[in-house]
Amino acid sequence: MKAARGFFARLLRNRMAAAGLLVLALILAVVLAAPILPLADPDATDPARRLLPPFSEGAWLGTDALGRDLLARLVWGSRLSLAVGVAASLLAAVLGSTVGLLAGYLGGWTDTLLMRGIDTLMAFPYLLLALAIVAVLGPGLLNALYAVVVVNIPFFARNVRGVAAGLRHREFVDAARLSGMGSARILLQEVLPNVMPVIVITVSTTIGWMILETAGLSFLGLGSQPPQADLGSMLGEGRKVLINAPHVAAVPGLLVFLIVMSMNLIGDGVRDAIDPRLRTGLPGKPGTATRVERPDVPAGHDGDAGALLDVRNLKVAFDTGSGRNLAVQGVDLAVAPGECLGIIGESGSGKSVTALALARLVPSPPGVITGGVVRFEKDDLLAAPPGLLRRLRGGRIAYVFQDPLTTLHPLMRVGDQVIEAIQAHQRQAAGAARARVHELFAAVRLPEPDRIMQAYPHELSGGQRQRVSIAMALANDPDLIIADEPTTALDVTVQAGILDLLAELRRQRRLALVFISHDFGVIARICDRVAVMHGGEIVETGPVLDVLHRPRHSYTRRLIAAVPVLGRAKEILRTDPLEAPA
Amino acid sequence: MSGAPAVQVRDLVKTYRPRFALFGRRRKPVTALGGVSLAVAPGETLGIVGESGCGKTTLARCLVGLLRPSSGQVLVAGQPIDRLAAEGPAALGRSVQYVFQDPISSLNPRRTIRQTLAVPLRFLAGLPPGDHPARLRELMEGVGLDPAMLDRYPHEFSGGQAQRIAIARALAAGARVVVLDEPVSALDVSVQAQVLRLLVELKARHDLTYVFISHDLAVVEALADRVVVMSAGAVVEEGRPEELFSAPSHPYTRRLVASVPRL
Repeated sequence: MKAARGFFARLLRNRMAAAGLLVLALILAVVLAAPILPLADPDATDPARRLLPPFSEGAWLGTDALGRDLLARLVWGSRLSLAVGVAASLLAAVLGSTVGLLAGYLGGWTDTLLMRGIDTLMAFPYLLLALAIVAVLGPGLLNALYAVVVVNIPFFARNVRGVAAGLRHREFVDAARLSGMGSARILLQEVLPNVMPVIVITVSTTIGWMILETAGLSFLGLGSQPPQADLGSMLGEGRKVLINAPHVAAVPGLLVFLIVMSMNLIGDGVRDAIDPRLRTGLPGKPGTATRVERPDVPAGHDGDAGALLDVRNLKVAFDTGSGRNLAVQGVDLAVAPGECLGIIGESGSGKSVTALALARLVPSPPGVITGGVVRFEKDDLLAAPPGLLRRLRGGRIAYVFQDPLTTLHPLMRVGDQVIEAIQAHQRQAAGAARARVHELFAAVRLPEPDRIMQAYPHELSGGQRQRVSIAMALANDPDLIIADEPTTALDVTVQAGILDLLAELRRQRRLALVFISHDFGVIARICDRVAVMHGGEIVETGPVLDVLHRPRHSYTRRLIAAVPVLGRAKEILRTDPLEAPA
Repeated sequence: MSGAPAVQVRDLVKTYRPRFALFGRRRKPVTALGGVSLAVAPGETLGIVGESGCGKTTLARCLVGLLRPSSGQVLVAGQPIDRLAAEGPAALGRSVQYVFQDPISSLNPRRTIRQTLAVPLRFLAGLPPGDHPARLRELMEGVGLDPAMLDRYPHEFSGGQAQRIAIARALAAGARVVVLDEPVSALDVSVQAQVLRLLVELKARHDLTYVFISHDLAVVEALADRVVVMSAGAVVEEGRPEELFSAPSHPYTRRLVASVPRL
């Protein structure tokens, strides 16, 4: 119920959709009230009063070539057209979604057979197919409806199949099977509710189109038969007197326009309101840098003279529908040249947001930096112009992220991606850049650099991909690398190799490293100092071994106690009185 | 460790055959399991460790009938699982259950916890609907959750809470063998420790047998009575975790143990 109210609130926030909804509601109210409205008989002919212009006495919208009242025909005709259009979309939705669900969920031969059938339907231009169906069944409104349904089944089948095929391998479907559900039940109770949004969106975006198609068939004389009025047949009749009495065609034409337009606007609104990505606020293009709204710029602060990166009182917030959530609440950090600082924390501690905020990479909206200073050598990055930020990012400050499969471009050879990274910062000929990439790949100890340069990301192993990301980070000789959980997605043996590589590169190149992890073991292996983050704050900071062996803060103690250590792992099973409940 | 094993696996082979391709080159079949044999005694926790692609998840899915092995046999409580499966999903689901790695995605996002937990009660345990509320409350309390949360949707829970719900679902119909596939890998360390403690407690209370799969050697050591190390679809080493990890004999195990970062 709450979800439905939220949905309508979001729908109405979209002004175009709200306007469409208003227009459609008016039209619907009128056509639904048709039997009780004081309208003339729509089929009563009166040759003496033929082709009266609009605003004539007794005929507000005038009359047609047979002297029938246009207003009455319009109201009754729209009623019929809407009924046929709605019935057609519901039928097409039910039939098409059934085909799509079965094909997507069952897969294999069923999928092949059903979808090739759908492809066959799609191989004919829709109007030709509809004409052929009506030609076989004979003209008539019901047959036109069948034709429109058949023509529109593929839209539903294809959309639904894609989603259902994705859901088939989801864990909750396996879990339902293990809980004793049969295939039919899984399909109806587990898969269908998750496909429903797609069906609703497809209905709302095709219903206008289907009304138009039905009208088209009636216009050609294949739908409603005289004297019955629908919007298409009224247009067809108006065409014959278009020169002498344009209003006979213009009036139904205008109404078709209004109906289809309002439905399409609503359809777009429904699509946006259902899409969860747009829920947290109005859609907007993220800016090139996180927005900064600092009330107080601390003046005259020189910070740590020797520090490469000096962060004071950094605050980052996210705008949500119900106000501003502070994710990072006043963080102080300093990194000397060549130093490795670890940031450790659990999910939601604000460690990744802090890492992204350093180079103002938190997407805005919804992210806002609400306070603090980030000093990189002399520059305050929070006051830096976009040009400077762009030069620094991937230049002197480089990032390595957790999952290289998502940070590398899937359709570009990895060698070309590193060349691109180099040429974004330096004027270098293609040959020189290529030689540099070769050198970098050798430096991160990728075997056969020449072969790997030609490979696409999916052809490499997880460890190789992360080495490519590190090579890319090194491309412009950075002073600082910010690595956010760079080894979390990797196997331990591969992780060990990457950590050794990072440690060695740091020594050789006097690189400063900010290393974010949830794993104390990893931090202890590579970092000099560690900052422990919890709830958006740094609760403790110091040399790694000191923090590990003599933790001062109770959260740090809890965290360390919770880590199972090989050789004495069973200790974590003893209940710890310090432990807070989940 | 007497009597019939709770789980027995004999010469299990699973080959993935490539999809039939009308065009394009033919791919070679991939062997995920190359003849694995093992046995788990009732009340024992068997740990399975190995790196990605070693076949541990394939093995786990064969144990609960989610995958059909190419050859070989799986027996649960002395019964071949293909025979159990032939009796319908209920017979199998009452003897062996599964807990997935990602707790959130193992719960249907569009169904409340009450609806999700009622499924095994209805289809596996055959409990009349009138008895559901009391049993649901009992299940929630058994995993340390407030029964008032029953009418919430999965996205309203933290990872640790969602995993507790998944565990409750696995235990709902009284299965005595539970296959846990990386059940704490997606959780934060402090939550991980709590879930591990819960698993130990539940095992004692319900007299369960666990097959515990993880890539994290320390987590396996914490829970397992015995551990097998898998590599490339085969078991390379087996033993008590404290001994095996302190003195590994197979070169792969040695490399694995050496790679674990120490505090």
